[in-house]
Amino acid sequence: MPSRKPAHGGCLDPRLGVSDKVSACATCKRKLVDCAGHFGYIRLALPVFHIGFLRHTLHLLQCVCKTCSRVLMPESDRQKHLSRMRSPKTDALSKAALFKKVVEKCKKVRVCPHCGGHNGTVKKITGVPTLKIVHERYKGRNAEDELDELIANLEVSLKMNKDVGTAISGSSLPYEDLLPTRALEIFTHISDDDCEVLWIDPLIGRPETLILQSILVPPVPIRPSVAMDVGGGSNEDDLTVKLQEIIDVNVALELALMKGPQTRTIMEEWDFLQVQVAQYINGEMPGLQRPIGSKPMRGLCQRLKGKQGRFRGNLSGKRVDFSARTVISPDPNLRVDQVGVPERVAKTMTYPERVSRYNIEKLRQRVRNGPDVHPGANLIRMKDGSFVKSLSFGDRELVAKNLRYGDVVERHMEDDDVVLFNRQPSLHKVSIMAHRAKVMEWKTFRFNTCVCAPYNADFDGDEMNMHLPQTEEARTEASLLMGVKHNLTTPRNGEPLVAASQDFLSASYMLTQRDRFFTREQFCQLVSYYSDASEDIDIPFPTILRPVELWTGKQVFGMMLRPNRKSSVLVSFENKEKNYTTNKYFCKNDGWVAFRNSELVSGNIAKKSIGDGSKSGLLYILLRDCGVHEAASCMDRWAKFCSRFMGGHRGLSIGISDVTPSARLRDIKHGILSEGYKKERLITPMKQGRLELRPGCDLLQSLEEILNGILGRLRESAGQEAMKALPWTNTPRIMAECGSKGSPLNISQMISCVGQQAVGGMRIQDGFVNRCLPHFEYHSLIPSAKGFVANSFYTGLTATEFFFHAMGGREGLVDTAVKTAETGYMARRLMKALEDLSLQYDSSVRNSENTVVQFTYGDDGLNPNMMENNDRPVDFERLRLHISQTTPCPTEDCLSAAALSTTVEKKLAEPRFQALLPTGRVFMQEIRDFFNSLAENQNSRMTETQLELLLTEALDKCMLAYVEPGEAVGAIGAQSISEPGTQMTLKTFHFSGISSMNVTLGVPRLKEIINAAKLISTPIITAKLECDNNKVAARIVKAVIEKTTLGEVSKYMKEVYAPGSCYISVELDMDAIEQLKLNVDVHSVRRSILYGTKGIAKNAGMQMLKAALPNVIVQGIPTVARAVINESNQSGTPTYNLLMEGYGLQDVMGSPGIDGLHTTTNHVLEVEDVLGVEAARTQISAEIDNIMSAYGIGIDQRHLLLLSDVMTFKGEVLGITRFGVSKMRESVLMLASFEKTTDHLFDAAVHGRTDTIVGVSECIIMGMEVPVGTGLPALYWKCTN
Amino acid sequence: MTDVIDGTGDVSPALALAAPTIQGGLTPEAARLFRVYRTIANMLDKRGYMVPKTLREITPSAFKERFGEYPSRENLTILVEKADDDTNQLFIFFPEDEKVGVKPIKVYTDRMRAESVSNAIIILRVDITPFAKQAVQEMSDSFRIEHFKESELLVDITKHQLVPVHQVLTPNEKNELLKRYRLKDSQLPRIQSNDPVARYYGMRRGQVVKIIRPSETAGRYVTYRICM
Repeated sequence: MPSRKPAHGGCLDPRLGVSDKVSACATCKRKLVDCAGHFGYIRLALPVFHIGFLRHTLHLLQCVCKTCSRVLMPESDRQKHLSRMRSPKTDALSKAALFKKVVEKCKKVRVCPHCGGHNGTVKKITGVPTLKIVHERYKGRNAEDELDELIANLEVSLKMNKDVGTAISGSSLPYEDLLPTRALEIFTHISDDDCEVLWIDPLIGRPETLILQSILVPPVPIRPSVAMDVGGGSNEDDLTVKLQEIIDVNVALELALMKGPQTRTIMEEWDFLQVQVAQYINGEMPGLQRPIGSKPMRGLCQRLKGKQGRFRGNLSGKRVDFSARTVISPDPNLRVDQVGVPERVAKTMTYPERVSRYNIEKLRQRVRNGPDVHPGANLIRMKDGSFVKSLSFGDRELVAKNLRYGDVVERHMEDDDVVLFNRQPSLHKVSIMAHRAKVMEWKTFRFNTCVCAPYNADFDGDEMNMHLPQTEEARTEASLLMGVKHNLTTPRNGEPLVAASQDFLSASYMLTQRDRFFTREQFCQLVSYYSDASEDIDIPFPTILRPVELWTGKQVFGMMLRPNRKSSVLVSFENKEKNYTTNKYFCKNDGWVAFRNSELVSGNIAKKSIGDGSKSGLLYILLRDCGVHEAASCMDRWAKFCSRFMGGHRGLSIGISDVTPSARLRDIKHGILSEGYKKERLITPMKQGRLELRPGCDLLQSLEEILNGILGRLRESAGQEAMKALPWTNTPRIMAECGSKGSPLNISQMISCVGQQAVGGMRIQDGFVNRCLPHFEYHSLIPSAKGFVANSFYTGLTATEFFFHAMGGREGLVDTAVKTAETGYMARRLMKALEDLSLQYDSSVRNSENTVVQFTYGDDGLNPNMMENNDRPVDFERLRLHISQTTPCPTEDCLSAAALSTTVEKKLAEPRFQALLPTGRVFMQEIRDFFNSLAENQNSRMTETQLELLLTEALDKCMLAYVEPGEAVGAIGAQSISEPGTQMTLKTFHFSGISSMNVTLGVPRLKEIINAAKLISTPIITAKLECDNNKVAARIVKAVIEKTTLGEVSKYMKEVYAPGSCYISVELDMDAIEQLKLNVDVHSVRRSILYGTKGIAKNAGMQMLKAALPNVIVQGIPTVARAVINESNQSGTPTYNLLMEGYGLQDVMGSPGIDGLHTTTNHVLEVEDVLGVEAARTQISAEIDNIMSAYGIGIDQRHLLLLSDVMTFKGEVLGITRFGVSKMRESVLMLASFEKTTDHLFDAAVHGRTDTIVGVSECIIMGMEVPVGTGLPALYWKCTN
Repeated sequence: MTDVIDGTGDVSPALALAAPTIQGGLTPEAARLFRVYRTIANMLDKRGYMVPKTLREITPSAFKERFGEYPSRENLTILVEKADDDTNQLFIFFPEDEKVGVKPIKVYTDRMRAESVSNAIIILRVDITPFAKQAVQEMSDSFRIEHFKESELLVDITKHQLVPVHQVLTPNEKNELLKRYRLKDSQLPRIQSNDPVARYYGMRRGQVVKIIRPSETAGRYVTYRICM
C-alpha cells in the first residue's frame, strides 16, 4: 500500500497548512482551527499568459512599439494624455474612456514615432487550443524593408531548413509570434511614464506582472482533501488536481529545456502548460474543447462568480447564528406585534443579558433553571472575559450564588424579547419586522392574521424565519424602526397594510348588519370577548327599550373602538362602502359608514372600513388621528372578538346548496345566453364584408373584437343576475360583498356561467387545421368553438369546455412562473443601483460618492409613507371634521367668509409657515384652496379657535411627514417599484379608445423602461394637430406622415416584354390616393422610385425590380409604420390627435400640420436624443406611472421621481443593467458583487484601483457599518496639529 | 388604409395644412426655412445675443417679404453680437450643399478670420461629412463652430411641453451653488455637452445650467446640471 503522506514540495505539502482535523501545520505547528494555511508558489519554467489579463495584455501590446517599447504616440499627444491621466480630477470612468481612446489611436499607428520601427496589427489567434498573440509585422506597404531584412537574416536557416523557406514565401505573409517571453521582454522595457499613459500605476503593478512567471499556490485549507473510505485515498479539490497537473507539465518542460530536444516538443509542452494555467484560473475558459459530458473545472474564477460564489454567497450574505425557522400558523389571541415562539426555539435562542443590580435575582433563577427548563439559561460569560461556563454541567446552584454584576448570562428567549420575523421572498422592507416574542407550547410560529399582508403569508405550510438581536442597541433599533406598530402602512404609498382580513371582515360585516339585536346577556358576553378581562367597559344605553332592552351589533362594534368613557379615542368620519347606492345614511344596502365620536351611526362595516389598502377607512383614521398604538389595539380587539363571534354565534360555511341556481335563475341565464348567441349570429354574416371596420383592423380582427365584447358582457350580465337572485344570507354573497374573499365574478362562475376563455388576450386559437378542436366544424366561429364556456362549475363543464378552461388556466400559471423570475432579477438590479442613496442633512439625496441625485427628495422632501391623501400630506376635509367633532367650540362665533380668508392669509404669513418655502409652496396653496372652497360653500362652521387648531395640526402633520436624514430612500424606492411587479398580470392593454393599438404594459414594459432599451415592442408617438377639430385635416396630416408604399396605391404591377423593350408597368390607383388624401402624383412617384430603388443594381433582372417596387415608399416617414386618428370628446366638441406606431419623433415633430411642441413618444431614448435628458427624465416617471395606474397599483410619485433621477443624473439615460450601473458607480467591490465579478476584479488589478468602501455593498462585504440610516451620523473631529 | 371614409365634405390638402402660423402661404421649402430661421432667432436671443425684435417675432409674411418666395440660403446669413460684450460676435451660416464638406467650412472660416469673428453656427440641410466634422473639431481652439441640422431646428425644443426651463449660470453663480451644497464639480448631476438642450444653449464643459421644472409635489423644483 502506498504511503498516504503528502509529498514534500507537492501541492498538499503540510507546510501549506492542513485540511484534516488531526495533523498539524508544518509551518506554524497549529491545528486546522487555528491555522488558516500559508501560501506557496510554483516557479514556471517558461512564462505564460494570464488568461484574465489576456485582453489587457493584447491592448498593451497594441499600444507600445514592438521594437522600442514606447507608446505609439507622438510626444505631444503622449504628454497630453499623460497629464490628463495624472490629473486628480479624472475619475475612473473617464480614465477608462481615455484609455480606450489611446488604444484606438495607437492601433492605427504603423511607424513608431520614437524609433521608426514598423508596427503591424496585434491580434489574438482564435481557434487554436491555446492562447496566442501574433503581430503582423511584415504586412502592409511600409513593411517590405523589414521583410527583406528578415529574409536576409534567415539566409543560413533557409539553406539548412526547407520549411523556413515555405514559411516565408508561402501564400500568407510571415508574422511575428508574440510569445509570453517576447511580451515579457517588451513589457519590461516600457518606461514608468509610459505606464501611466496606459493607465497602469508603475508603483503598484508594472506591466510585466501581467505575464505569469510563477503561480501562487493557495493554502491547503481552502482546497481541502476529502478522505475516502479507510485506506482508499482521498478526493481532491479541483484546484489541487489542476495544480498537480501544472507541476507535472512544468517539471516535464524544465527537463525538456535542459535536455534540449526538438523545438517542437518544447513548444507543445509550453502550450500545454499555458492551457493548464489558464484552466486553473478560469475553468470555463472559452475556446477549449472539453470531453463532452464532463463538467467544467471549478477554477479560481468559478469560486468567485455567481450566486453561490464567494462574492454573493459568502461576502454579501452570510449564514447567521441565533436564527430559527419553522411552519407558521394563525393565532388571533396574540397582539398584532407579537409572535408565538415554540418553547424549543426559545430554549436554543439565547440573549446575552448583563447582570446588574436590577436583574440579578431574575438571572439567578434563570441560571438555576439551566438549559432544559424554559425560562433558563445556557451559558455564562464571566465579567473578566476569562472563560465561558456551560450550564449543562456542574452545580448550577453554586454558579447562581456566585453571579456577579457585569457577568453576562446567555439566557433563554423570554416573553417580550424583540425578535426579527421574516418571510421570503423579502420583496419590501415590511417583509422583515420586529415582533415581541411570546413563548408558547407546540411547534409553530404563530401570529395575528392581520399581519399576513406585509409578509404575504398564508398558512398552507409556509415557513418563516426568526432572528434574535444580540445587543441592547440592536433591540432598540429593531423595535423602533422595524416594529410592527411602526410599519402598519406600506412605504409604497402610505396605505395601511396591517389590517383586518378574511374572517375578521366577514364577522364585522355580519355583526353590523341592521337586523342584529342582542339582549343584555348577549351584549355583555359579546363585549367581554375582546378585552381579556383587562378593560373597563361602560355599557351604553340600549337602542330598543321596550318590550325588551336590545342592543345593536353596531353598538358592539362601537364599544370595541371606545370601551369606556375614559378612553380618548374619538373618531368621526363618513365613508362609502363598496355596496353603497344612494341616500347616505339611509342607503338601502346600508353602505354609508358613519362614525360620530366613535359610535357607529350607520353603515355596514366591510373591507373599506377596516381592511387594507384604503386611506378613507376607520383603520387609517385611527392610525392618523389616535396613533399607532390605538390602531393596533383596536385591531387586537377586532381579531379576538371576530374569531369568538364566528366560533360561538354565527359560523360561516359554504355548501353545494349555496351555489345551486334556482329554476328562475336558470331561465334568466338561458335567456341571456340565447340573446347573446342571437346577436353573435347576426354579426357573423357581416364578415362577408358589410361589417364596419374598426380603425386599423382588418375584417377578421374587427369581427373578433366585436364578438369578444359581446361574449365578455354575457358573463357579466349573467353574473349580475346571479348576484341579484341570491338571498342576502348566502355565504358566498356575504363574502363577496364585504370583500373578505371572492368577487362577483367567482360567484357567477360557480353559479351561472364560466365565460369566455382567452389565451394571449384572444379567443382560443386554432390548434388543428382551421379549427380549435376536431369536435367543431372547419372555420367555425361560433362561441363554443372558440372557447366560450357556457356551463357553470356547478353544472359541470363539457369535455371541450374543460379543455379550453385548462388552456386558459395554463397561461396564467406559465405567466406567473415567468414573471416571478423576471421581477426577481429586476428587483436585484434596481436594488443594486439605488441601494446607497440616502437623504443627507441638507435634505439632498446623494449616493455614497456624495454625488447629488436630487437636491430635495421627491421635490418637496416629504415621506411617501406619511401621505394622507393622494400623495399629499394632509386631508383637510377630514381634519376639519375631526376638529369640529372634538372641539366644537359652541360658545364661539363662526368666522365669516371674508374673515376666514384674511385670518388664513395672516396665519400663513407667520414664520412657522414661511419656513416651509420653497418646497412647501403646494402645501400652502392647498391650505388656501381649502379655506376658499370652505368660504364659498358656507356649509360648515369654523371658529377662530378651530381655525388655529386646524392650521397647527396641519402644519404638525406636514412637519412630521418630512423624511428624516439618513433614510435609505433609494432602497425603499427600489422595493416600492419592484414589489408590485408580481401583481401585474396580462401583458398588453388596448390604447385609450383605440382598440387596434396595443401597448405593451406590465412587467415587459417595465423592463424596457428600466433597461433603457433601444428597441421597444410598441413605440408610439402621440402628436397634437395644429388644427385639431377637423377630421379631414387630420386625415391629410396622417397621410403625410404614415408610411405609404407603392404597392398600397397601385392597381397592378406587371412585367411587360415587348419587342425591343421590356419594362414594368404600374398603374396608380387614383381613387385610393384621393380617398387617403395622399399628396402623390406621377412625378412624385417617379422621384420616389428613383430614390427607393437606388440599392438595386441597374442591370438587375425584371423580377428583382418588380419585387422591390411594391416596397418603395411614395409618401410618409419610413419609420412610422402606422398612424391612427384618435378622437376624444371632451367638452362637447370632438378633438382629434394622431397616434403613430414607430420611431422618428424628430421627423414627426417637424412635419407640417403637427404641433411639434406637444408631440411625445413613449420611447425614452428617443426623447433623450431629440429633447434632452430633462425631458427623458420626465418621460421615464410618466411612463412608469402609466404602467402602474393601468393595473391600479398606487405608488407614490416620489419613488418614481427618484428612479428617473438616478437613471439620468449622469447626463445620459442609463439603464439599470450591468452597463448602466457600472457607469453610475466606481466601487469595484460593489460592481463585482453585482455581475461580471471576475472581469471587474481583473480590471481593477491591472489599473491598481482603490476602493473607498463607502457604499452599502462594499461595507457589507468588509463587515463595516453601512453609512445610511442610523449609520449616517459620524463624528467629524478636526485635528488641529 | 383601412379607415372608414365618410363624406364630411372635401377640403383641399393645401387648405387643411394651412396652419396659419407656419405656412402663411409659403412654399414648403420656404416654410421649412422660416421655421428654422425663427428657432435660430429665439436661440440667439436666449444665448444672450442681441437679436432685433423683428427677427425674434418674424411672421411668415414678413419672412416672405424679406427673403422672397424662394429664399436663397446665402441671404439668410446672420451676424449677431453678445448683449454684454460687443466684441463677442457670432455668425450663422446656411450652406446650400446637402452634405456639407470641408470646402464650404474653409470658406466660412476665412470669412470669420477676415471679420475677426470667433464663433459660428452652421445650419446643415441634411448632414455634415465626417471629414468636415473632424476639421471643425481641429479648429476648435481658434474658432468655435457649432452645427445643427435643419430638422433639429424645425421645432424650438426649449418650448416643448416636456422640456423645462434651462438657465445657464455665470461662473459666480456656479461657485455660490457649489459652496452652498459643499460640492465639487464632479458631484453635481450632469448634462452631456451633446445633449440637445445643452447644444441649443451652446454650453461648454464646466458650465452649470439651472433647471426650473414644474413639479406635482412641490409646485416648482429647481435643480442644476453641470455640462460634462
